[in-house]
Amino acid sequence: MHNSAVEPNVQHLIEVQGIGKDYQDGETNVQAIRQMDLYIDDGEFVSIMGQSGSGKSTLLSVLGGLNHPTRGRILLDSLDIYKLTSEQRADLRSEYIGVIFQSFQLIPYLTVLENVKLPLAITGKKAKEQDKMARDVLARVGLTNKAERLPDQLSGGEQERVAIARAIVNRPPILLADEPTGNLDSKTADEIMKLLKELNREGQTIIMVTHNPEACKHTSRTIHVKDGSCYAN
Amino acid sequence: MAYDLEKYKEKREKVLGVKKRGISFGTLAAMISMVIILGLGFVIVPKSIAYFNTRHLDDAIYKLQNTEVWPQEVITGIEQLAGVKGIETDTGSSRIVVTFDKSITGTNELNTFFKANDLKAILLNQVGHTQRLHTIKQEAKFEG
Repeated sequence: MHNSAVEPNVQHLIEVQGIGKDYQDGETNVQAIRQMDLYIDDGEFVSIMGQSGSGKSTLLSVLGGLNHPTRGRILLDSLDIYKLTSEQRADLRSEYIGVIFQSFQLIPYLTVLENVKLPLAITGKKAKEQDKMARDVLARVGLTNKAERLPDQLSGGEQERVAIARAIVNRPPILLADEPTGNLDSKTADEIMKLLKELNREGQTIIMVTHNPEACKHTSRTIHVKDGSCYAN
Repeated sequence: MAYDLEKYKEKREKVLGVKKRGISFGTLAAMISMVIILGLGFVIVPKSIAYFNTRHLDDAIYKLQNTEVWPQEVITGIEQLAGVKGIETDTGSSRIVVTFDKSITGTNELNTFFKANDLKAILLNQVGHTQRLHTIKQEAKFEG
């Protein structure tokens, strides 16, 4: 595979090498990420912890191929993701990455089943196969009987489950979760963490951004982020 | 433990475009074009080849004035003339059709041959070889 975006000598599923991210805020240069080097192995459940404004969400968006770093590189399964063309990077997101957003980001006028099927629309899979995959994953998160409901007919925990189902329906190796329990009460949050832990036990690599130390207890490793740097990896 | 690069190979190939998803529009358009071009080729190419192979040939149709049947030694003699590509007899061997390369020989040379052999041959018609074959085909269609 001769491609300048492929680095064959990798040791980990994700390798973050000397990345930095600067923003221009008026005339001020803001360093959202100063310097970060870290790795994530296949099958790990990693939490990224830090206070608001520490750069953890920026790191997550950079990891997800959505935010070009100012410097450094990110290797994902040997692919230097920011050396790929924008089309290839879109394919990479579709193939490798599922994202769970803090506020679920479900489409309110689509049913649960239709929301879950959304990521499959661009994969070229046949409608029947899409339907089966979506129903299978809804069964996996315990929402078989809610498939035809609209999102606002569900509880917060159920909406979070739909968001998880949508994120994993295309079987991505990596699941990025941005404060997945941020909008949930502690009991529901605990249930969601248990579900994520189960998925991880089944081989799913999960990277979760949180500011909640309780959520970190469920993960195998915590990366602490402060002032745009990770200081414990 | 070293990272297993084989695990997500299929996904990596999809991203890099090594493994194509379905048929692209360009490929489909190229395939349809090929089918059309090949289809037209099968119709046009043999006709073109036939035309280029026979465009220099003419057919001269002769009949003997006094005799019903052409003697075999005369037919053999005509066949040996330079530029003559073939002879067919028709209408009960009373007529012959001489196919010749018009860039080498012509009816003048054939007439000279007939005179030299003391034969009174009448030229009934001279047509292009391809045209005569086409006429024969059309006649067969009407008759049959």
